[in-house]
This record gives sequence, C-alpha cells and structure tokens, in this order.
Amino acid sequence: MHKKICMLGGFAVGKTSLVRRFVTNLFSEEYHTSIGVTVEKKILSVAGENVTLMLWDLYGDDEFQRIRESYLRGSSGYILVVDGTRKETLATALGLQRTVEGLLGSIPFALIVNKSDVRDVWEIDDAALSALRQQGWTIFFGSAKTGEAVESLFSTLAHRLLNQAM
Amino acid sequence: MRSHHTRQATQGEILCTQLFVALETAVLERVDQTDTFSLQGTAPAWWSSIFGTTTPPSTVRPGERSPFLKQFLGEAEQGWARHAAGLVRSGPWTERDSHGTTLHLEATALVVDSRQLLLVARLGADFEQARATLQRAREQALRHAQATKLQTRTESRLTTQLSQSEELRDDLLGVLQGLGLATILTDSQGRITFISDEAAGLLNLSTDRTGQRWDQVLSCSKTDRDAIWTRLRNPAEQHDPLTLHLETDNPRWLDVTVSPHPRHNEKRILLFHDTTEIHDLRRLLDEKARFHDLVGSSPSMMQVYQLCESCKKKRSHDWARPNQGK
Repeated sequence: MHKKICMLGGFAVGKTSLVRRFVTNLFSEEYHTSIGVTVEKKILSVAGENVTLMLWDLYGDDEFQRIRESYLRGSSGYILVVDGTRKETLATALGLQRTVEGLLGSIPFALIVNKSDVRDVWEIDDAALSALRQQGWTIFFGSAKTGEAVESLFSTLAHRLLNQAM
Repeated sequence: MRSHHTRQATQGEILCTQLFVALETAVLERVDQTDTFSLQGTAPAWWSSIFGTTTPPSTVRPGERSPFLKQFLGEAEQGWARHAAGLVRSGPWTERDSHGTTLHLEATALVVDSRQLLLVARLGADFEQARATLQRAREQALRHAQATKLQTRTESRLTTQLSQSEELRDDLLGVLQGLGLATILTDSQGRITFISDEAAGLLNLSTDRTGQRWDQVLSCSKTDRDAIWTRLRNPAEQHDPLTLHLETDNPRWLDVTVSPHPRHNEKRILLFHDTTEIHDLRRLLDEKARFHDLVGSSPSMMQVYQLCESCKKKRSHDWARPNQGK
C-alpha cells in the first residue's frame, strides 16, 4: 500500500530535517533551503501490514515561493511543520491547512512543533495550541535534531491512514 | 536537388539532437496516449543514472521510476488533451541516483505537430544560482527576524527597568520632599540636575532652574562662590559646613554641605540648612554682651547698635570712623 504524505510549512521550520531523520536517521545543523520537491520513501509496518510512505518534501511556503496546488493532489495525508522558536510559522501552517482542506477536503494530518531541543527559546506555548487540540488536531512536540517524537509522528499518521483505508 | 534537401534535413536532425544533449535534456514522445514514451535522439549523460539505459527508439515508462514525474504526467495529460500550444511545466524536483548523487530536474509537456512530447531537463548553473540567491534571502530574513525579536525583548526589558526606576525615583523624591531637605544635585559641569522644593523655596527660586549652573542661581558673594567651588572640586576633604550669606530680597544665612554622589563620582549633592535665625539670635546676644553695660539697653539705643552693626558688615574697613567720630 502506497500513501502520499506532503510535508508542509514555512521555510526553515525543519521539514527536510524531519524527513531525513525519519528516513536515514541523520541530522545536519546546516540550513539548506529547498527549491522544488524531493520525494523520499519509507516502508512502515503498521498493524502487521507494510505501508510505503511516499514523503513529498515540499519547499517552504513564503513570499518567494508559494505552494503549487498540483503538488498536493493525490495526498492521503499531510504533516504541518512549525518552528517552535518562530511563532509566525504557526500562522503559515494554519494557512496551509486551510489551503489543503479547501483542495482535498478533510484528510488525516498531524502538526509537529519542531525544535524542542531549544524549548527555552520557544515562542509558541501550549496555550496557543489548545484551541487546535480542541478542534481535534493531533499535535506533537519534537525535534529533528534529537529525534524526539519523529517516529511517533509518522507512525501515528500511518495508522490513521490505514484505519481510514479499511 | 532532393538529395540536397535530404542531406540538409539530416544535418538539421543531427544538430537538434546535439543541441538537446548539450542542454542536458531528454526528449520523449508519448506513445498511444499511455504512460509509455519513446526516447528521441540521444539520451543525455545523466539519463541512465536515473531512468536506466535506454537506447533510442526503445520505450520507457519514466513515471515508474519517479513518483514526482508520475504525478506530473497526470497534469501534463490535460495539456496534451487540449492540443494547446502552451507548455506545461512541472517545476523543479530532485532525484537521487543509485550512487546517492542528487540531480535537479524539470519536466515540460508540449505538443508539436500533434506529437505529444515530454522534455526532461537537468537544471544547471541557473538553478544553482537561483537557489543560492533564495538561500541568502531566507538566511537574511531569519537573521532580520532574530534581530527584531532581540530588539523587541531588549526594548521590553528596558521599558520595564525604566518604569521601575521612575517608580523608585518618585518614591525617593517623595521621601526627600517629605523630609524637607533643601537639596541641589549638580553634574560634572556644575549644572543643576535636581532641585528640591525646599531648596527652591530657601533660595527664592520661583522658576525651575534645572540645567543652569548653580553659581548662576545662588546669589552670594564671590568669596562664598569660590569657597563652594573648592568644596565641589574636593568634596571628601572637608566635612564642616560652609556658611554663606544669601544676598536676595529676603537675605538669609545658609550652611552648605557638599557631598560626592554615591554612584557618580563627578556629581555633587549640595545640602542647605537655613541658619538665619541662629545668626540673628547670636547677633542679639553679642550686642547685649558688648553694649548693655556701657551705654544702656533701651529700645532706642538698641536700634542705634543694630544700625552700627549693619554698617560694620557693609563697610568693615570704615568701621572705626563713625564710632570714633561720634
């Protein structure tokens, strides 16, 4: 079973780093901006069934590059990535969520607040996210650098995709 | 003639093939409205590392190797179906070959003479330059945002500190005014930076004199001024208060203590005590002690003594003359 998952978020929030950590268990401190799309593949065993996740690592959404809707088509789910140290990236993620929902309807997704390794300088607190939790959003606090919550993020979404397919 | 045209067409075909190879672009023609394509001309050098060895005119299904291209073919289908003259571009995407080398590619779908074509180009120097520019722009945006946040935090901290300092200052001022101390604070240039209400009243100052030099505000003799300047220069060396006579409409005797500022070495604190009453009482005692046994102490005589005393102060060098002459 193949499932397309899009990584969405503002620039420099850590989308590529999260994918890299999940697929290769590596992390680089250097920031390399993404232009265009990179598709990575990882097979997960979910409830005894192999699920091939096709992770579409899209470039960051900002004034320089807007996400092309054609890239989102065919997605089974998506992950919104937010940088905990930059509160404006939460607004970007909320905007992207509205775009996807408008295009694809209600499909499974999860939000991760990345960079928990530097939580002392976070600008996003739990209060800002409580309203989203009340709306039923699945929210993780994690770090591509330390690997915190990375596996559970993808595996939780994979479970939801599988449950939806059944 | 015909062989000349044939030779020209062949040469043109060779040129086109070489051109596409030079542009690192693979030219594919769609076969029978399917996801199968036949490679036209010569495949560029990078092609086999991603899509395998393909010898023209053998066919290939590029969507099977690249999920991105597979999705783009769906988008391209609409353009091919319309037989439109325009191009449908995929936008850049990245593939990794079997050696782990990344290649940046872009696909373009178009129709030429009813032939549905797919061009897959490897992006080169222009792409890298655009990426470097975008990288710099985003790094700069991050730095700017960080600097702005730092500035905002600093501003907020300083505003809080300022507010606390102002509150403390107001409290201390209240205490100072409540104590009724006549105080003047001066800076290194002798300019007044603070003057208490009590001091303003004592020195007969009806307007705010902050910013003026203390010696422009204090109406006293040059000798007194010089004495104060000496104290201001070396406040720690003398401890006894200076006595000065204030020469205003309401003359007063003042004791002045000059102290260094506890935190700013160049600043001085001048503390004034009104000793006019003490001086008057001393004078009266002095007069009684000196004259009552000689001439008498009737009110008329006392007025004469006081007149003599004031003349003595004003003209000390002429003091002996009226006394001796009368």
